[in-house]
Amino acid sequence: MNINAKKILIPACLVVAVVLFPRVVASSYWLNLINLAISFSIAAIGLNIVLGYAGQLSLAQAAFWGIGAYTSALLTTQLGVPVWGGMFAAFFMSALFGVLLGIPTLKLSGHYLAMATIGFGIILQLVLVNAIWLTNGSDGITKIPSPWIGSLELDDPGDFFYVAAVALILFTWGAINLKNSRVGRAFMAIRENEMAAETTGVDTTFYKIMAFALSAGYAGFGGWMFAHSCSHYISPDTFSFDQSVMILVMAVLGGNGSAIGSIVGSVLLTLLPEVLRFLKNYYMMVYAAGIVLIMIYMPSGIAGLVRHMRVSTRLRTWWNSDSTAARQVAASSSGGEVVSVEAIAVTEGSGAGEVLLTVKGLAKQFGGLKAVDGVDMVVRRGEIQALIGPNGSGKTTTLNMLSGLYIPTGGEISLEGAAIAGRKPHVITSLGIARTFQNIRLFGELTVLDNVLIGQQCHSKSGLISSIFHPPWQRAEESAMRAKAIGMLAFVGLKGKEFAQSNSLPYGQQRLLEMARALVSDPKLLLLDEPAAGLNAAETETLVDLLFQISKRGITILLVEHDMNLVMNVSDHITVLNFGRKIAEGTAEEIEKNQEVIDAYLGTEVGNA
Amino acid sequence: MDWTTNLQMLTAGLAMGSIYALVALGFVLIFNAVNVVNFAQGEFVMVPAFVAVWLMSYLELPYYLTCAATVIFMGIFGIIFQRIAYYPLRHRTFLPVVISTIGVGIFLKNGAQNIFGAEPLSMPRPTASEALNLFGVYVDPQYIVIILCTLALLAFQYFLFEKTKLGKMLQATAQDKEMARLLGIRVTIMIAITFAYSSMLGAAAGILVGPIFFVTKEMGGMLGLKAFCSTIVGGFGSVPGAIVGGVFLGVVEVFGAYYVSSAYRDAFAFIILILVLLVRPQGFFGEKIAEKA
Amino acid sequence: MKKAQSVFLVIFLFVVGLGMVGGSAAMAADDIRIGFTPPVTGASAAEGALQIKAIKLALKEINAAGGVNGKKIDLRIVDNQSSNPGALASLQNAVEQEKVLAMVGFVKSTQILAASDAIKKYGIPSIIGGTNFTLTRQGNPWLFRVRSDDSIAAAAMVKYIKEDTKLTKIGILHDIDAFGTGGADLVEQYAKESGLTIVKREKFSTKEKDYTAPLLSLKNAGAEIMVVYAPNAEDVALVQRQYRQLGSPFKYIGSPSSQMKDCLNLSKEAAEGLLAIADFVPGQGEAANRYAAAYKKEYNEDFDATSAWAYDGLYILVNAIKKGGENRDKIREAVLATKGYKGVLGTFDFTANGDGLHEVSVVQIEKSAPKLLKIVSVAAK
Repeated sequence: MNINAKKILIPACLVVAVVLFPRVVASSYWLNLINLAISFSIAAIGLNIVLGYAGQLSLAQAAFWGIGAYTSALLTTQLGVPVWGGMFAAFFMSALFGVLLGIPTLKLSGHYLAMATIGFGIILQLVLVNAIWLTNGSDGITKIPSPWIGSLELDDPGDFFYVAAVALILFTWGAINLKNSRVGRAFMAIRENEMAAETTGVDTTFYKIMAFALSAGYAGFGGWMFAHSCSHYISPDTFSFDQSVMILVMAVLGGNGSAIGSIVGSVLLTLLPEVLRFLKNYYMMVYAAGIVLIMIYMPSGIAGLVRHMRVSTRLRTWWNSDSTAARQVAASSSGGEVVSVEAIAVTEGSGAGEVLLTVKGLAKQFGGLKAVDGVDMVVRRGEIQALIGPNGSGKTTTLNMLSGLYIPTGGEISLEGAAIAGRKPHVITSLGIARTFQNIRLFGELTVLDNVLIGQQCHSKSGLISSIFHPPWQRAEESAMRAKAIGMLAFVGLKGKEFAQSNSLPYGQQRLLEMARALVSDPKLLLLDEPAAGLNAAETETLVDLLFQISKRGITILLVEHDMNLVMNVSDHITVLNFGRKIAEGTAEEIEKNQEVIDAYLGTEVGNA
Repeated sequence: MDWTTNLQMLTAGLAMGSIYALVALGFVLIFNAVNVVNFAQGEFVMVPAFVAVWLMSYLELPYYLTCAATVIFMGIFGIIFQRIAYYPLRHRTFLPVVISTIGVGIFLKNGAQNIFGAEPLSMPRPTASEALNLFGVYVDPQYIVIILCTLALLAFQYFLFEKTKLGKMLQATAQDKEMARLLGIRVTIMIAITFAYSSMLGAAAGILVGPIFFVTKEMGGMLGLKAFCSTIVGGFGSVPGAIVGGVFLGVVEVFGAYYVSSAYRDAFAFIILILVLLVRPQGFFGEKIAEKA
Repeated sequence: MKKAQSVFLVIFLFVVGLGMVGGSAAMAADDIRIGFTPPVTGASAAEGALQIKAIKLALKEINAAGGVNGKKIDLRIVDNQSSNPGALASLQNAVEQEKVLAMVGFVKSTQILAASDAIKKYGIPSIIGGTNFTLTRQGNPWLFRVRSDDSIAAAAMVKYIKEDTKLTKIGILHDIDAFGTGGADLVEQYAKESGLTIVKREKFSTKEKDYTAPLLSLKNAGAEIMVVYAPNAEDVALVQRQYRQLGSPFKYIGSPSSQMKDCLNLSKEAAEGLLAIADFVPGQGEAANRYAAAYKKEYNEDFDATSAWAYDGLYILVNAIKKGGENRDKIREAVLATKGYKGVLGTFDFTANGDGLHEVSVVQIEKSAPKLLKIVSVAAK
């Protein structure tokens, strides 16, 4: 089947299914339940975005669902706003609250974030109950109108189903598109390794707030659906912490990170109590036991289960065999060679030898400990400089200040004349400094290709809207990014590994991948933190070659290293730190002979790496 | 602004706060040991309360025997709990464990309903139900028992953890499992003991609070959440922090309910939580832990 | 791991299949099906259990007496899960899956409102036990209330306070839920109309444990009598206890939960001498006494007053079916035509909007049992 036929296949099936469904299931009882399930599904997909994609645990989804329901219910019953207007209001009001919740909780993660969101949800429910002047309190809001299409009032659940189904399809499509886009990758980078995401150029603050807002907006839309269908009545007791827990279970049961999984989870958990009525008061115990068992035996949820089944693997291979990404990779591997050189811009000859980075009086104090105590250094364009010294001398701390992870307590840093001390890591990355880490910080669950695509965050433009809708210019940008990524992988020696999961690579290749990710942002200065750590002799040689290749293309390198052979071999200039202060600098020969350096660090027999 | 009213509320606040503190203590111990936030901690109070009522009302055991039996029961319960909810998930990230503990909490709640019925039950009191009148302040004698027992438990715990070998081993396991294992400490057993001890603290809380609050399947829910708030406010991972946080929240709640709004009483704990998280996330006593780059 | 997953999946599908197949049991052609939607699970499970006992007693008696023209009543109980979506689902399940003719329905006003549209669409006669004043004034002709609504309870309270206790300064303590707030609003309104003063109104959230603050607040505001309007036995028992421990700073009169069996079992001596409104009390009539005795005989425990509406409700519905046949419109007319029916809760005279009962009893707790002080009737509004 060719690619065009494939593109029409799914939409066609969906249209048929949606049109036929209310005819086949003629019962108002089941249709109301399905509409309810769809309303939950959208909320669960939203949770998937903030939790599954971005890794932030929010236990307030029912609160946003409630904000959407109440916003629209109040506007339509009190102010006569048409129901479709209420729909937009619901989405944006919830998204606004998502921003309001996201901003203060940025610094939090894990349990702290979960607790803060729980608190938010409980406070909101209390407000819904007590702000009687606004919300009518515990009595709730009755006679919520149904939407109209032309002259047709959609108050029959079978009619409302069409709205629900179309909405569900659109929201799911959006979420799936998002996953495979610049914004989606930014979310996943934050989830995988927030620190690395920040230094790779992802503005983690901005994207976390965006994830919250988007997720809240989804839930708000779900709430709109709930208010204008089913009972046409809402009251505060529905929007409780227990409900947030249930939405969480729906998302996780379906498979964290899978939008379709969320739909399956929601439908299951809405319909199961009906189907399992014969269990009577044992239903909740079975439900709870089920949750625990699923966590133990089916951690990736239903989506994970399905993914492992052979039928689905074959389906997926068939479906993906024509995908753009796959075709690009295939083309490059058969075509071959020259792509690699174009991957990195060559800046050779442009101002080699000029000062690129200046550090004056740099200091970092942790409480009483002076990790870095007044360091001056200069890095010149095109050179390879090494920063060496005993453990605890302040090398990594210096690197962290250069890349923006630490704010210096004193001193200045300027890159090409611009002051960068204390600026956020992703800003520094966009200005031209990229880095790797001592303990490799890859986006482990993501593919090799995705890691390198995220590296291009600074130089790509696609925002939220284009990430959801995939307009032609966005697709072109993605293609170009992929081409560059493929080229870069070939350059570092990882050709053919594009679709491997990055944490499945052997250690040495993971280091190369991290390097590729750093290089692909076209940095002026590359900071390497112990790049040779854990490499054997052969791998170290490859590394040396690579360093020279990078340098030939005009990229300046500053590396922290303990492997003295490597250091003496590659460095044009060496700076030595001890106890947070610079004790020497110069060429390899000069440093080898420097008595202070020998006493502090090298020992009498140079060459003992 | 009269003194009697304020003292009255202070007493109530201290008593409620002691309960929060006890439950918070159970939280912190488990968290320190295995980095797990136990969302079923409230149920650790509810289950022993039901068991104690059953022993006293149906088997008609005397009070102290009931206490002993319930505490032992909860010790065993804690070990079983960790085997089911924690052990299979011990190598995973925190999300599966959080959801698993939530699931166990729901299971216990509904299990209690199926076993003991849906009606709220009254636990026989060891103390008289008439309030003592101390300087114009009415004090339920059970409140005094709660505060004294909490202090006694804290003293016991301090002794156990600081002065005994077992306590040191538990602390070592909590701080660095790998290292503890290398030093020959049976880490699996230490973890089991920690869960058991945390459950026994829950038994104490359940027995102490049952007589004043009645025993229902819902009694654990909000209690657990507020105790969790207490640990964060006091400093997550800090044992004295859990105590201080619990008492602080208990007192603030009562005064907030009187002077600000009784309808928003539940909100105060969470508002304080959010403020603390924003301004000083390590709480009163916690330590700032920076991630190593 | 994979094997465990497959086993799990198989078991899961089996259970689900079982549920779908076992859905609705066989229908005996000669039975009349009536639906009942109590909370079997969830937060209100305790009340649900009592309601089931009450209605089953009625069911037993009715079927033993021959049912309706020889046909037995088949009661289908569908759990409303103590939630709004659950209420709607339970009603729809009862009508579409269990195919019931008529319903005995919900107590909680939010659940009634949640199911109200569906009830109207199906046109199914539904007996309700909710006391929120507006429920029978929403334009739904299919709801029939077999309890006195809150306006009657509130009016009775205020009347009793004014005429019998002769106190004038009232403090209100109420749950923030729909029941508590609605009742408190009505008490406040009637008190003002009668020239009494509301010194303060304090609220609490359902399942609150510590009432020191609101009780002290009412005391310091100078309340002479406190009205407690709240639905949960457990919460009210705590209020009673703590009120006693603070030295009983004022008099106490409560909504029906203050004298319900579950509450008295918990508060024990603390409840002694307190006043409350009750749906009914033994001694107020022959039907009430009969009910108390029959309940004791059947379940070997004392009756609960707040769930007895379900007993009366089933009787009234069945009587209407006897009169109107198995036709929903005719049943509706028959219910509304019910006048002078002496039920457990009192004498039923249905008004056009569906309210059946217009009287409540004021009781005083004596030795953990409510003792009748006075029956207060309010003319139907």
